Amino acid sequence: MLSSSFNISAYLFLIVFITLSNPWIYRITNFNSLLGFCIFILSLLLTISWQIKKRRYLTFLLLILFISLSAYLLTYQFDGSIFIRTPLEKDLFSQRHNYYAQEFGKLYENRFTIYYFSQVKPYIDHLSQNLANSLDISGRFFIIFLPFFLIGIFNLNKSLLNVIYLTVALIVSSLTHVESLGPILLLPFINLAIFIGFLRLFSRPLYKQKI
Amino acid sequence: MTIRIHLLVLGIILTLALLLRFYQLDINPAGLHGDGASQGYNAFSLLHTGKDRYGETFPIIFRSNGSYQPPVYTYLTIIPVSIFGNTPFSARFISAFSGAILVLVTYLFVNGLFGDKRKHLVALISALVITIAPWSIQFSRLAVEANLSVTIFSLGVLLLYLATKKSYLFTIACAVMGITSHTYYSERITTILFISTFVFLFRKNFLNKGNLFWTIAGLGIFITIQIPHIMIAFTGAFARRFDQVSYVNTQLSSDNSIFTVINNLLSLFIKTYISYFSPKNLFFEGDSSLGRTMPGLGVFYTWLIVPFFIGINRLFKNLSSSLSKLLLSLIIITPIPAALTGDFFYPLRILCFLWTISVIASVGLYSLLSIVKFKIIKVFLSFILFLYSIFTLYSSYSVYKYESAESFGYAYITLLDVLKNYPNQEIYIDSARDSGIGIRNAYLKYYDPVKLQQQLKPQMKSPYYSSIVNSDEIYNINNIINKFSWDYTCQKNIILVGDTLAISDKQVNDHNLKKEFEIKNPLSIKISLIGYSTNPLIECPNKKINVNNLYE
Repeated sequence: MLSSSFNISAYLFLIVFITLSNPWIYRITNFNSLLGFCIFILSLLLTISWQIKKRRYLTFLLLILFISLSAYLLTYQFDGSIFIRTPLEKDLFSQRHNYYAQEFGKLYENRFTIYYFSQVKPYIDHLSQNLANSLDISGRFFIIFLPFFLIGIFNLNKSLLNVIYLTVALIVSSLTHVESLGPILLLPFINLAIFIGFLRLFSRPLYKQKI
Repeated sequence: MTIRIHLLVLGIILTLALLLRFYQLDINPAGLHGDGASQGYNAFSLLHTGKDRYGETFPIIFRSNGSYQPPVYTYLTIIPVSIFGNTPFSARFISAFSGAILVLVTYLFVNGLFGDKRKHLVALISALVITIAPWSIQFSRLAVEANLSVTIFSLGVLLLYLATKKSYLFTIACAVMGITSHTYYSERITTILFISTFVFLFRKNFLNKGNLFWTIAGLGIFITIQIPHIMIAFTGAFARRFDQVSYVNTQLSSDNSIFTVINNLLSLFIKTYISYFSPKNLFFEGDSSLGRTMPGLGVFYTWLIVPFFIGINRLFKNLSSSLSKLLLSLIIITPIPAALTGDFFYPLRILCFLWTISVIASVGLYSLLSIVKFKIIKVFLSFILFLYSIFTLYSSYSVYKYESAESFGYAYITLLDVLKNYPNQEIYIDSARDSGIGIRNAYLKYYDPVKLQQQLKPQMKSPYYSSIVNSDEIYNINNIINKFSWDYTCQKNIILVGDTLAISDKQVNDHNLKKEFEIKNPLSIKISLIGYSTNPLIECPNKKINVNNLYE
């Protein structure tokens, strides 16, 4: 039931404004219009579901869209370079192999440790590098939104939906590479944070009001 | 936890801190950076003559290698140099020692400020986080003023907080903050900003009638300690380093309109400032330069990102607490000086910021562990994280020893041993790749300070405190000279030393040079330095040898 003092269209207007004022959405749309549209809808759904009490259907819709997008990204935009060692990395390993052998002796010179450093660690490093790139927020929105984003992030409620969304979005972003578009699944989450920051600063009475 | 167990754990943490900072300090990093050698030699020179290497009596800041070094580190280095001699260990001692002291100060800081009945536990966690923090270990093992600075600064912050309870302590806190401003460049700005913010945040304590005397006295002491800075403020020396690294002057001297200049300055500042908050830079491999981070390791362990966000969240939710006020104001203020320079994410310039992040992450780690109900799981989780961190650290540091050898001039130190086989020859070394060769040789060879002062003073070309600082001085240390010219090939008894870029195979043939030795970095296949003797009889049989004056 809607609160008498509150109009949902104000919320919608704000989240549409935040989403469309971010150049990132246009870069995604240029790459693939359907993908851009889905991200836009996902932004709306995530934000509305944050503000609505009875949200079972909305959450269901959001999860369907989110899972579909994740599946699409993992299938068609999977970052194959994660499991490829570049010549430079191979060279670096052969160099460090000597250093480790000198320093660790038999602790290093055994099948398992050498396998870890030569066959496992490079891929962990690739994944961690991708995760680092996903977490890098610079250039993801206009700098003027930074205070709102920060306030939003620290006022985000720890609902299961938010935690699942963020965790899965980060995992998918670490495994995929969509040209130079960055972690596109995080865009709705960033928009949500900016949205909450806006409400926290400019509309304190509405901030905790659930529809 | 009883007090006895508590102190025992603290003792173990401090021992670990000392071990991680002092173990193999003389050989890892392999070599000695020119800046460290400069501090070491100036300390050696002050110890024996009361003057630095240019003959200046007890300088306010130390002229060095085209710039100036803040004084406190050099003055303190007199102690280890007098005890342990002119070694890389002595040059790094103050940094390593202050790194260990930082662990204790952090413990006292959190113990004093954390408003929880389990504050001792949080304080121990904070001490442990600092003990094993990659940034703290990395910079504790280098002869850098910034590492001393963060320790004195954090002590100043602790004393400022204590001054909210006992107002007379404000004078001591301001004195400590004043000394910090002489320890590292960033802190000239940070201390002023932080003291102002602190007095504002706790204005009820400091601006009431009862405490106003101590507030004014403290600020008076801080200003008094700034007198040496004021004395050199208009010489150009005070802002020399800032001019070298900052984008401000470049923008101000451009032909752009005032609006464009302001816009450029603001956008550069914001971009750089934000780069210091990037999780990518803080918790992942943020910088590939070995002078700043260890191979494969960022300034923090990646896993610490989760406690950091939990910690920040906790501070936001307790904004009225002293700990929140202090840490949040520190996190905003401390990256400002670094953001005024042109480098994106330069860890050395933000050690106070990294210290703040460590404390926040420790608070988060405590909150995270509090969620776990079973003590056995808590202990197991903590142990796994600790073990993983130590494993990552050690594997990175064992590589660092070898990979940093080039940056820290290891080959030039080995060269000094090799040159003992050539006692009657003049050695000319190419210094294009390493500007610290001369001062490193002087330091490690215990070269007579009086003789070096006689060599360097005439080469200054400008007053001691000046905006123009010569960086191409020639050092003649027992016939080892950091100057290279092909003119020397017509002289007898000469050894020319350089890397393969300085002396190519073609030049070796053209000038009839004879290879004498080659030096490699440890476990490296790459040749770092090669020494050649000249052959003037074949090279220039009829040419009258006329080599220019050495110091021209």
